[in-house]
Amino acid sequence: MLKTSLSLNIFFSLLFILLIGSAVSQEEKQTESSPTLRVESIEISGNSMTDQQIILSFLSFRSGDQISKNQLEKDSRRLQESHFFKEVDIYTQPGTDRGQVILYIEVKERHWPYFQFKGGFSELDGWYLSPIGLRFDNLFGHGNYAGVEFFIGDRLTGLDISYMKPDLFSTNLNFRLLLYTRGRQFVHYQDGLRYLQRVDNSGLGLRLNSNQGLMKYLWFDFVLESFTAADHMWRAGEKDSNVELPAELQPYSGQNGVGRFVVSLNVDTRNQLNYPSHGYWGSLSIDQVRAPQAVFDDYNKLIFDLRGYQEISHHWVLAVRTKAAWAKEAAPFYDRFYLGGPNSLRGYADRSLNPVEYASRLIQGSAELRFPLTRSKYPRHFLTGVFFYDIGQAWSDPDTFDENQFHSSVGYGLRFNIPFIGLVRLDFAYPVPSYELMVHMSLGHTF
Amino acid sequence: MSVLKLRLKFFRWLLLVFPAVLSAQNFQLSGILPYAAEDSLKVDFSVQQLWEGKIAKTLLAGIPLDIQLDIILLNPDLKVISQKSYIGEVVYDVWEEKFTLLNLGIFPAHCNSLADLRNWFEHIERVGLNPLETLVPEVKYQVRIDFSVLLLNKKQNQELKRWMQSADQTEEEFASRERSTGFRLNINQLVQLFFSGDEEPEKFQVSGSSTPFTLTDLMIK
Repeated sequence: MLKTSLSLNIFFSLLFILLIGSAVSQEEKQTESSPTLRVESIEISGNSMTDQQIILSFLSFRSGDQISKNQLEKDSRRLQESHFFKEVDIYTQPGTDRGQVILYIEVKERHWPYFQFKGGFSELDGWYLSPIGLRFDNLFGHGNYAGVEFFIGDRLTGLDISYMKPDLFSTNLNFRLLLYTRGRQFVHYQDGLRYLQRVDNSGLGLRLNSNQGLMKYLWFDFVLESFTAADHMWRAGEKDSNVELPAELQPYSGQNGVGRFVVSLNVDTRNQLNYPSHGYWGSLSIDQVRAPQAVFDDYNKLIFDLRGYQEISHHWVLAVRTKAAWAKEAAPFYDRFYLGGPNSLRGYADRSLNPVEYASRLIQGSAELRFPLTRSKYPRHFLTGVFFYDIGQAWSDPDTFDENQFHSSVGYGLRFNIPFIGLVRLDFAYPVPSYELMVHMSLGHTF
Repeated sequence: MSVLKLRLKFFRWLLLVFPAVLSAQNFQLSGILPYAAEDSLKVDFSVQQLWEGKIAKTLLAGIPLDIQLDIILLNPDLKVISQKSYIGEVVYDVWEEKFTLLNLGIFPAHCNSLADLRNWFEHIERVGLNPLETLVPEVKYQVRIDFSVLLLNKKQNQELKRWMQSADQTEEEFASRERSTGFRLNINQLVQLFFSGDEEPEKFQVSGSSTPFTLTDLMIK
């Protein structure tokens, strides 16, 4: 047992080093390959109450540094998307000498909070909307983020109150506080029928991360939360048809409080979000959960997700993904893994491929061949075509893993780039070997 | 008299004395010279002080400028006999430090400095208009040139592009059980975008004409 744990630790330490090393070298390579200019000066105007340092904190460079077009675009986008200002205008002018550039940032301050509309799709919660959220970002010019968001959806209701202070005590560290309460409906399958069980979850989360240095790859979260699982479930679509929980789920009903410490390593070298054609996104997150107020024991959880993108020819991109996850047996079902659905293994219904008590082990992979079907405005073109192959297995008891029991599917899909919403995804998936068509609709790329 | 009124009076006085202070752009057409060459009616002209002030600032900020050049041959009744139009774009690539002229066939496609660009527009030569055989002797013709530059508003160029081309997408931040994807909209910004009205792009225009000429007056080059 000790030997296995040591091997796992060594393996993941090596993975950490490899991911960070590779990200740093790729960033250097990208800077080397594109033309760069020296920033002669950065001229900021219009910031009557916001300190210049707050605006500069969105930039990864300072006067005197060499910058590339990609770097400037990425940073400009970050400043614009911060919604700290009513208007942000960023432009350059040639500097005094050739090879130099002067950067102008003109902002218009906001003196009132703003309303936000949010929507999305999550495999756990289904479709959700935050029809009205109130944001107080940078309201007094101190560079803080704060907001209240209310969620409703297929299988979710919830409320988030968040506050974030970037550059905490001038340390380049971002500090985030989140208070949340959510009511979720967990999907269970029994005898081929779909049941739902309500699980309420509320808590307080603290997060530390940074935009600079080695710390920009690492995120630390500390969460105190409680779960309250209902002692019954009901047939989907028949709210009054209460039935008893399966024996595997019964121990977790009632309230359980936990403390969670999460370290995650995140590396993102993708050249763009909308249609990545180069680079990779990798993340490794490790949860340590202490459960003194719970019916279950302490447990650890680990999730590794790696996605790579490579252009093959004329904007045809091969995208591959591998995800592996492991949790100690003590983990309750609502903190375990599942398989099946538009974002994991297409061709199967949401969470239909995991055991009743959910899985403590998961392995899945996907490959997609993506190609633009319209040319105009590439890489923000309107229509993309996709051929895909998904494979995976989710299991609990180590002895139940069977290399011949992998589920897989093939199919094709379309991605529509819709203004204001982004990518709307339509996938036509055929599970192997039954090849019974299942259509999935979702948002964003599958990975 | 209040301070405000005094200020206004002084401002009006400034306007009268120095009208150029408020003029964003002072470019002008000059030296419109029609002549005969290679059996054709050709024209030389010069666009002076074009690449100054707001136009230069906008171009150097990497925002494309739309240019329209119309060279028109008129008869004594000022009716159009023939017209040659060039509609194109001038773009400055900040990163390559290079100017590109698109669809403006009378100019080279690229140039490396603002000084070169100025020089080309100040010496526009040998623009062909009509075969000489189509002109009637003794009829007094005139060449008119209309030149305009359209400045896309920076706000229109950037904000609309950002909103329309790339939604504010949300992605999962790190490896998690569920993959969550979505979008968010700043409603205030959206309302502002739709109800602020269309801001017209700024257009700078200048016209000039040659002195009237007959076929026999034409200088042969």
